[in-house]
Amino acid sequence: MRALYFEDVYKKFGRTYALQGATFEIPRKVVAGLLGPNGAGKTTSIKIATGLLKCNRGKVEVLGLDPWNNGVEARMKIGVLHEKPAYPPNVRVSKLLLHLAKLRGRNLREVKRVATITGLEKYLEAKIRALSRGYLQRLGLAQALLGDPEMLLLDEPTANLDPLARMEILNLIKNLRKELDVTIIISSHILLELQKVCDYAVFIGVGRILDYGSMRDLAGRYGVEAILKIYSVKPRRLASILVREEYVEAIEIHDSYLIVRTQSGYWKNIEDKAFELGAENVELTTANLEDMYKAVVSRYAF
Amino acid sequence: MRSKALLHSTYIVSMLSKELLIAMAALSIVQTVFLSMMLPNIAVEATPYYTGGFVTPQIRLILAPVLGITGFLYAIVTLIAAAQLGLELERGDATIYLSHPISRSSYVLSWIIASLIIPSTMFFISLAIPLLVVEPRLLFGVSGEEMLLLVLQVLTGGFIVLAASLLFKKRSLALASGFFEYLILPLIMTIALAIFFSLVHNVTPSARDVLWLAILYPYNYLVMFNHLGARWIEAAAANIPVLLALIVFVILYAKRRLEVG
Repeated sequence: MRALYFEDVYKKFGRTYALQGATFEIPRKVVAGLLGPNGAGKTTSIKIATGLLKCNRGKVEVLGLDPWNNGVEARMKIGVLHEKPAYPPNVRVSKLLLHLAKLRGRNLREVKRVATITGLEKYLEAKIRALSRGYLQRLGLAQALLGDPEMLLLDEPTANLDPLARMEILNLIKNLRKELDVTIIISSHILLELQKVCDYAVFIGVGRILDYGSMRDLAGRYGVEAILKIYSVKPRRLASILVREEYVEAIEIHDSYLIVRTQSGYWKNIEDKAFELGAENVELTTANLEDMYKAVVSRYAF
Repeated sequence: MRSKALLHSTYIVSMLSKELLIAMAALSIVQTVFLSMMLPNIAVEATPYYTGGFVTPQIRLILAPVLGITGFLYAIVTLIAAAQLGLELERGDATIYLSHPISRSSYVLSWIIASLIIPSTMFFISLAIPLLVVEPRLLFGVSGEEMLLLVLQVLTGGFIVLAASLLFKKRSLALASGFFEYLILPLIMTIALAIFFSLVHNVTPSARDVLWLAILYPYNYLVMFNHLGARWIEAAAANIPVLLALIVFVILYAKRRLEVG
């Protein structure tokens, strides 16, 4: 079942189209990246999916619901972190979170739970204006996690953060996926960051959807370098054999697994070979997003 | 929907700036204390008499300004409180709330409760004690019906501010709309009215001739034209459809058109 579905969606601001016939879908239980340059329509897509904006034309479904007409039901199932969110500055963190929790039928226990997950426990009694950018972003994540949503929409979650805070937020997102098993949709123009967390991508360029699919499919479609994680009890022996294959570009050896970089067209060969040599499991962790993005943009250049 | 609107309105009341809440509470206390202190004097000294069907207690000379001031403050506090919706939409806080399971109409309904219904209730409560004991005409030289018109007038102004907040998403424009409607427009209309009747008709208008003034200003209409035979029920009848139209506009706009972000 689809987590998010856009069909021929148009959104106009004044005379400018933010989205022009956007069509894509994102399945459940993936970490999907909405990728595109600034002004491509990522934020507009997220706001339409949240029911904050109404599309001029087209069909939108969020977990099977129309977010504009069934907004309350849809928003009960999703959590949203907005790009540059504005919070009431003079309110205490706990008061805002408690109020938002109550809107979801939850109580103070829920506030404490999300504060623990996001590392905000010590700042619950602080006024929002006293929080640093990094902690404001944690507050954004905390309010998005209230009520155990089935899907998280994160709009530029690392924007305007220093490198350390960026790393912290990205690790937090990674952990969320592991611990909460939710669908996560992240909008960003920083490809390197998304590379670390995404297994599905939607490429947007100036209001149009260029392509979308799992990283595995996209890597194959655009012939970009793929990265495989191969689990084995004898990683060194496996590496010594795989390194002889001409399409293997690089291998990193770890205690219980290998990281193998290969041209995308050959990742299936590597997988077969690895299993042949006794590998326990093979995961296509990611393809090189930057190369993929370049390939997508050059194919669909306007 | 109602419960979320009430829940959010409680939150808004706690969020509204302390100054506004203090002003409203002080207004209520001053009015109650002042009027209560006047009760013995009113009981002993008030000698109402009739001048062409118009009740004119002597004590009115003292109490009418009190009501004038508190009524004015009540209007200003209400308009400023309603304009906070514009600030919330302008600053973007609304995006956070509306990203959670509260409908757009519940969200706006909560603002109606917090910025219009609660101040109006406080204003009424502040009058309740003296009104329970003394006949309103003795207290103010105005009737209970006129008090209703005052509330209707302030609510009309409040809904204009809420509508402007939704349309412009700017507190300054919402406040400007409210103050223009409450303070400047009646002056312009009165001057225009005077010029029109002096130049065109060259006669003194009857209350019926200027009943249209009551669509926005039922209280002003009655106070200004009482001596011309203006009746409160006519003023209310002119204002209530306009007020209802404003309420319907605000709710329907929120439900169907309000976009944030």
